Amino acid sequence: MSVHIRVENVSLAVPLYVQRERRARNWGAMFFGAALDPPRRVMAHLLDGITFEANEGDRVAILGRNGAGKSTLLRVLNGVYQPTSGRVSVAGSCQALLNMSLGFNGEATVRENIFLRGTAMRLRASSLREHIEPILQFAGLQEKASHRLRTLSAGQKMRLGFSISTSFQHDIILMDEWVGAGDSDFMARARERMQNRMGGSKLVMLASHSVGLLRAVCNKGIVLEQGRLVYAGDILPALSHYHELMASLRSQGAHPEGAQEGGQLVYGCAETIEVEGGLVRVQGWITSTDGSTPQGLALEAGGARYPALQVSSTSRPDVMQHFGLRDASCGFRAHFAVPSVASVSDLGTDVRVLGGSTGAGADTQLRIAPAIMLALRGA
Amino acid sequence: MRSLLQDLIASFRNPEFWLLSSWLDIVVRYRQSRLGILWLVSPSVVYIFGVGGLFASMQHIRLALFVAYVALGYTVFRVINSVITESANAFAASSSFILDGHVRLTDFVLRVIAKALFYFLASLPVVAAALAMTPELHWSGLLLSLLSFPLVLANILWIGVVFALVGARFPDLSQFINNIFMFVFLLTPIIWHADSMPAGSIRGTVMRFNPLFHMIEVVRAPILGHPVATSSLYYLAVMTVAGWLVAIFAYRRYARFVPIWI
Repeated sequence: MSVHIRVENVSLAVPLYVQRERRARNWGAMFFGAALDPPRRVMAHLLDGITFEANEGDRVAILGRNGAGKSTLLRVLNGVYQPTSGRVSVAGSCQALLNMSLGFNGEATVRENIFLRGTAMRLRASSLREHIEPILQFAGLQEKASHRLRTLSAGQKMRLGFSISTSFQHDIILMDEWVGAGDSDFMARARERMQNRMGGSKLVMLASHSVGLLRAVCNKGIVLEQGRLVYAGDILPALSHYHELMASLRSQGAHPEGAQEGGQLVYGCAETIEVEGGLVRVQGWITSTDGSTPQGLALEAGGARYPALQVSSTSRPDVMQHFGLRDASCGFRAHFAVPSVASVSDLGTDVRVLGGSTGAGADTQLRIAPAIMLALRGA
Repeated sequence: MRSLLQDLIASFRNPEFWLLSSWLDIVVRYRQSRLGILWLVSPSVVYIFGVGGLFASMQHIRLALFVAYVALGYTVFRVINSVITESANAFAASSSFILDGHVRLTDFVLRVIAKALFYFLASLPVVAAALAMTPELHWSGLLLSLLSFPLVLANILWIGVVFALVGARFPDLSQFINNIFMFVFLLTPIIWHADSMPAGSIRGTVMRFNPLFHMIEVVRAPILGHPVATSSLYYLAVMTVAGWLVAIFAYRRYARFVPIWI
């Protein structure tokens, strides 16, 4: 039987309880109002008439602002929420990687918790037994196997959760955001394993704000806005629909809500670094998930931070086409005044190019092209 | 639509998760202490011999006669009590599993019941000690009680399902139940004799209306050589059927809302 996900006209309405809006005139009114006002029941339509289909081989990106219904859709596909109306059919074994550091017993040992989580994932204890050591090894927690889980750090718990959740190959993977924190060594292993799992699975649905990642991984995309499906189809038109949506929201002045609260992610790439007349010149491109071009740039070298003296934007139709952006002017050429630098290799190897909406707030590291890394090493 | 019976059968076929998680909950509680698992029996000892002894002397009954009565009443009461109080909170306490896609909700009810039954088993040595003291022990009654105990279990199962569903919708239920259970304990004839409430009086009617009284009575009476009142059997039979119907209906209607509520 072929692996597929079919969603037909799915809606999900949930009751929410809100307090009556009332203007408290003074502290006392607020005090009693908080205690006495009964909550009011309102229906919230989290998903509204969603229809799409994903088949074997598809890697589907789920795009949308915060609160657009991405996680809710994944939970519907996972069978947690049953749609109020419409039909969902999921064929194939399914693993959701939604919240991997939960579902543990803090007082039980790490080894016991592996059994607990494993059986919660409907695995037989007999088949789990031979996976215990590999799971511990992957999480780097072999010496901690008989420690209580409570004594582990948040990062270690995350590693354990990730290690358990990803140690079995499933037909379908549902993912909410890429794995978060962890030291760089673990992140490298985690990335490798995720790529293996996604390669080995027949269908992937990935919700993320990272357009660069989605563009690299996915071939299909769906765009959600306020629970409605805006677009479903190939990744490129999906990305351009997404950017268009973000741009129209921005023009309505709606962007502070949703887009800004951690939703607006800056991404880009520094492609060349040259030293010219005492100034460091960096060229590349930068954009953000809401489709606007961030204006702030900074360079970090040898632990010191240098704001850009001058930034000029350039036209990059190739980048625009690749990510389905609306605006070609996402390229940049920036000059930085770094004292006593005569050649690129003088900058040292720990160079970071940072981007953000303002120069002072530039804190997102841009990818650095491999050619630059070579030049920095003085090769 | 989720069906209670189908889910229950599936849960019994795949007991690994709920057995393991309830077992971990139990052993973990005693890990911090040196006495460890010995702590398990201490509440039974306190209630049966401590409270039982106190009330025996207050009512001028010989301890040896009274302690078996208290032991049986208290242990059955504790099973029902812990199932009701914990199941009201069962789904919320397991929300991370449920939201992760483990939606066979009967697993979480069985987890609560398994825990309660384990504590029941752990208190059996204390009950045995109490029974050894009494001159009234009836071995044939013990067999009869073994037959009626499954009837109590059948009721506990539907009670767990219903309270878990209601508790998921109204999170304050578990707190409310915690608050009133001390009163329920005193209302139910555990540390006093049911005979002291004559059938005609208001107090007697209230007592006979209390389902806990009948659930305890069908197990306790035969062992102590008293006949089980037919009214108790009728009461329990009706309660079992009606309760299961309510549970099946509520589960079919409301189980799908549980992930949203918690």
